[in-house]
Amino acid sequence: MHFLEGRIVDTCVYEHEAWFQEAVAKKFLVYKAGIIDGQCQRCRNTNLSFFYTFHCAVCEDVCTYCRKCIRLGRVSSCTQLVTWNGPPYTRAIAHHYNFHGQLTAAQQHAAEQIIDSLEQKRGHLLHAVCGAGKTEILFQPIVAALKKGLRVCVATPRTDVVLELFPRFQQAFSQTSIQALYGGATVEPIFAQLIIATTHQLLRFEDAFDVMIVDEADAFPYTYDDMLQQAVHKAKTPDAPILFVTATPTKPLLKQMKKEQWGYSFLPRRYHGYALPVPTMRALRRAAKQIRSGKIPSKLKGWIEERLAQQQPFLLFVPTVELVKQLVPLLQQLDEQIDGVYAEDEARKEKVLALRAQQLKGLVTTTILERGITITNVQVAVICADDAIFDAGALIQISGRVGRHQAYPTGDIVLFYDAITLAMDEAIREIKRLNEVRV
Amino acid sequence: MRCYLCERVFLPQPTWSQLFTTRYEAVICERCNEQFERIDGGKALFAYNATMKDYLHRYKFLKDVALAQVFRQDIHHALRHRQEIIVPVPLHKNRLQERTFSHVHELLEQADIMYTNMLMKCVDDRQSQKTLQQRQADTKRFDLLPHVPIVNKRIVIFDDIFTTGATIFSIQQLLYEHGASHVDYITLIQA
Repeated sequence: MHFLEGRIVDTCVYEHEAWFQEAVAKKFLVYKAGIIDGQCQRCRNTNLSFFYTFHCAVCEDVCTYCRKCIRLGRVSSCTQLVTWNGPPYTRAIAHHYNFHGQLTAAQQHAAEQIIDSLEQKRGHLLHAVCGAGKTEILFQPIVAALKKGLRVCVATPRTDVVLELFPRFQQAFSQTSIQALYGGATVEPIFAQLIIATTHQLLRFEDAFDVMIVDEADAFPYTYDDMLQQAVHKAKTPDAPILFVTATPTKPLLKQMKKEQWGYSFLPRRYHGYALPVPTMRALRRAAKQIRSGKIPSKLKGWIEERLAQQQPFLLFVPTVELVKQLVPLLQQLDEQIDGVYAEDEARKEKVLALRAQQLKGLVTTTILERGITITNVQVAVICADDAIFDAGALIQISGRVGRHQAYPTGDIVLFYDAITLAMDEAIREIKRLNEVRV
Repeated sequence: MRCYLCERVFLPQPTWSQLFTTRYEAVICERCNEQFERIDGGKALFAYNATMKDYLHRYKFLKDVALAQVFRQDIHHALRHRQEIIVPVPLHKNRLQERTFSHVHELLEQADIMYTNMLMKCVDDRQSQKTLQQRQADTKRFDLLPHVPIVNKRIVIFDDIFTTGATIFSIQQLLYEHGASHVDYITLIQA
């Protein structure tokens, strides 16, 4: 029943459940129509081009629905939404976290700064390079908030990041009820004090969280879609602080930080103390065309054969799904244990696990794996690095996949290009700059 | 215009045929349009592929009624010169309550095709959850509506998807039994 606390849901979905009927009987719920005064009550969309009016067979009248958030189930003017208005759930305050490693001095300092900011209820930006151990830094602030009985949310624009974080949090907070929410997840109808969700799923919440953490805050589509930024604000209580976590903060984010006087932690070093790998650039003309005509470009072939010979797992980033599909069969002629992933791939979770377990030798991927992924001793190449999809942030993130493990702190990151772009220059300059910052 | 499928803003390309004939305005962008696989000269307009699967999911299960407009030009083109009576395959009334619209009727409505309701579904079942054997063993899933003249009529059945043909063929048989002189069929998708 307390599953409903902080959520905004469609009555139809749960009305047959016993716990829902109990909440109805006890009058713990508030009802409202799905669309009021031209605004979708779930995603708060008011843009007319996203509304569609049709003849509804149930009402036998015209109804309007919102197409903006339709992937979460349709909300129309005849939908009855409910929110919780009952007594709050008695939240556990006995939490602790299991973490067997040791935080570095810099990590510990950042964790303390964050705890301090959250206590003062002010925003905070954790700017830490890829492989600085951001997730570990979050453990202490999260446990401090949970112990005070606060509800915490870790939101990220990427499903892959949720899938990566969830097992780590489950392991770290074995006594806490945690839920992972993403499109297609099975959700148990219970109250969870810690929620790890994609920013899309936050549309299902209202006034729910006392601490909001946005991981990978600069990733597509969060920066691109106003709806998702609104979703974050809608899901938290009005005075709840937001902690932004990223390796590549955007200019507007830095500006907002200065303006609203957030706390700021900067970690330019990886946890193991080695420098970030700097990408090397190699010219590779008409790569996409060669692949389309069924030929592996020879420089790329050489690079892959070297990885196979040295038994190093590798990631191959390409700009489009079509290229993944065209390249995979070609590479499978070299070695059958090479596969590809893209956003609509149903087995993408399994394939990443297979690469980590060394059942696969290499993976061709779109930018979906650019962040949040840790694979020991992985080597990386980017094909068509001059494509517009690879902005400086994306290239820094991609380079950040390499050398994350203490035992393998270096590795190869190659950008195969047709023409050098400003984004490539900027990414390399930024990585070099970070390496030179004195700690 | 914002594409109904990928939400990107696009400019519909004006063409001469659009100026001089009645063509519907495009609601999806060229990139999305290319993902659908058209079939020429068959009893179905499209082949079933990953894009179509996603389309059907969004149209039928997420109940995005607006998507009925996506294929209005194709359906209009395929059916506008048919002289026969066009009969859409109906939903069961329980299913209609659940879905809030009949997806087959909506396709015809959006394409401005006149149709006649002749059938009613008398069993609330889902073909997509049955095997071929189960589908063939089924009896009497549809019945005729009362007081609709059928004797010596020429009819075209319209449905969204042709998988094994069990639905279409059973309706065809039913209509022949009641005196229809010719029963053809056409579907949006061939699985």
